Amino acid sequence: MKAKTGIFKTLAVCALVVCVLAALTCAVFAPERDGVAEAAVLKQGSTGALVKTLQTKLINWGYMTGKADGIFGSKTKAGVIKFQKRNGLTADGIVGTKTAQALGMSLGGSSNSGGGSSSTDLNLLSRVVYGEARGEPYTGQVAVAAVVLNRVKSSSFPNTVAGVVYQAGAFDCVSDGQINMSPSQSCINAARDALNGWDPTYGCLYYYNPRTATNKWMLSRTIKLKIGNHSFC
Amino acid sequence: MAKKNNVCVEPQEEKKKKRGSKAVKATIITLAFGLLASTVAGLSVALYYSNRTLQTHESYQRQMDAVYFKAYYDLIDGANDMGVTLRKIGVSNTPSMQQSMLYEVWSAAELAENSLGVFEAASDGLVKAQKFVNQLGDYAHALALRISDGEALTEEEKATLAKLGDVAQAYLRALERLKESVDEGKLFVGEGGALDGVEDAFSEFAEPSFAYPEMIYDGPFSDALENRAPKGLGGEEISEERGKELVAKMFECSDIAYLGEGEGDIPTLNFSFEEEGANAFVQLAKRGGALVSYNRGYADDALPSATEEAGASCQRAALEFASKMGFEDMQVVWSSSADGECVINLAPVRDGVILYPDLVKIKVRENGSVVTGADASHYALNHAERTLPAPALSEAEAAKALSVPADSEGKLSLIPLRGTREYLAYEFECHVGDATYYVYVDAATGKEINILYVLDDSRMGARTV
Repeated sequence: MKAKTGIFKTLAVCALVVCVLAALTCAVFAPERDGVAEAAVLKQGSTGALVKTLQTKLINWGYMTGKADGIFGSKTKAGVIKFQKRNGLTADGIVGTKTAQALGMSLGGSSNSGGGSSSTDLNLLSRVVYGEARGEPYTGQVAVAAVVLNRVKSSSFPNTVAGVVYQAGAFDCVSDGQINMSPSQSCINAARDALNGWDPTYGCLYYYNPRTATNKWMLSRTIKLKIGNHSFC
Repeated sequence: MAKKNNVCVEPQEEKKKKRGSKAVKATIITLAFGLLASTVAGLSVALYYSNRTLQTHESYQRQMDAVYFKAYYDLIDGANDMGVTLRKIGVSNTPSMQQSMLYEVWSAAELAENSLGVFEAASDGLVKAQKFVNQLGDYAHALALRISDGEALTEEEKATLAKLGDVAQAYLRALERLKESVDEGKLFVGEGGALDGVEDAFSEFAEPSFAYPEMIYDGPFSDALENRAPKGLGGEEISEERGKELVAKMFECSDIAYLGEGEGDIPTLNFSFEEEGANAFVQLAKRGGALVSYNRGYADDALPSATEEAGASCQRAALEFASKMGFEDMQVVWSSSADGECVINLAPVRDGVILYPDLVKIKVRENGSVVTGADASHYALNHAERTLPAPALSEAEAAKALSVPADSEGKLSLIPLRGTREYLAYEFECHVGDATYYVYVDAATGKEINILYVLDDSRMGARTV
């Protein structure tokens, strides 16, 4: 019996090893997914900023009552159906491309076909703001966008928004890929304010989070303003 | 018998046992082979994929290296061209020749600037290297523009250009240091790559051995624009308490939090308060306590677009707000709308002249015409009592400069140009097909000095570029 137990143990170990190997292989070589998957449609059960935008629109236009909580429940569904019926759309309670268009919303990150340099800059800038400062107060978000634009204006940095944003090592959101996420409306508004001239920092070229920053050269600079978690200099 | 029986039974049991253990052995061997085979198969698959990932990784790395190598070689080209052309200018005496070479310097500097921008700028040396090359190009461009007005370079300007030639030399020295590791066959990316040496190579720029001239000229990168004192602010420094009083009066609010000082180009005291569930941020000038900036955030929602009538009531709201904040005699000069908010640009009018440098921007939520933001930084920086020159030309004389007929009367305006100077000009609105242009004609010389094109964009609103 002892010998058999030994053999079974060996077998079990072998099986385990194979399983682990297989699992590892799958884990290591499974195609990497981007951090964010774009919501192609909004339906019951969806959550997030886009749902909140949808709800605000429905409330403002009288298709729904209550608060915009960012959760697509039965009340939101009823509102969507009401909107769809009144606007000659298929009344299925699901916000797809057509309903979104009728609502004046964009569901995807890059679906806006509007050309022009300012629109491109707005898009890029709002992505930076979302990637770098989505948890910050609104003014902190405007300030981050303003720092990018101050760099464009400064002789010490590249002279285009893309040049500044994609300069090696300049922004963490570029290194960790968070720049590729879809920005929230608040971040788009903040970026637009900065493009329109708002700059709470009045000329700052750097910012950092004093709790996480390690770059000595950065830490040696004189802080000119603090907003939320960021020190601007 | 019992014994016999026993003897007879034993071999059969043994046989059975032997058969049994043979079967077990066979099963074990089969299983073991199976396991071995699947392990080998699994490992081969893993090996195949790891090899493929490695190849992809290497291919990405090579592509990244290509980007850095291109930037490196372009930087050498740019620095070489800058250096050589700057020398040539020193021996040239014809304005048109000088102008053409100054444009060459500008273009070479742009190439160098773009290439340098690819590398990380996390040290004083690299940041200054970028600054020098930007200013060099900008200065050459400003001089070239001036020559088109018919003036040749002065000896002083020639001397400045010669000094700038030393900057180009410093670039070449920095690149020479990098060249050593490139010549050794090092790649840029990866451990011990040439990228690690970039910071060191450009360290000379942190405390340059060459004499770098202070660059005061008409251009966006001119030193004149750094650390400029706000002209529009005067009076005593205000205290935190006084600031709170002012904010309470301006916005009819309570529970104002003091957020400390802002020490940027415009020194401010910063405050915040809650308004309709959103956080409002207010900056008052430390000297005098005038409103410099106000902005209110929203929750993550897009506002519904407003009707056409909203535009007019937004403009009224903006003008009322400006007057309440102490910005008098303002006129709406531009407004644009996007995502349910409009930004109204107001400028003061003095003796019939629109003062564009003193722009105040007011953000108004179209739904209900509520003011949600204001930016008076331009006003704070530029507003001053000016003695405006009388226009040398009449509007009709200025209109002769236009190539397309104007659709509006020429409005006398003061416009800022290239960041440093203000010009008195006639503003004409012109239309070609669907396109709208604003053409500015210098009221002193009758030359076109700026042309703006109106770009209508659904996400930014209508803007001029």
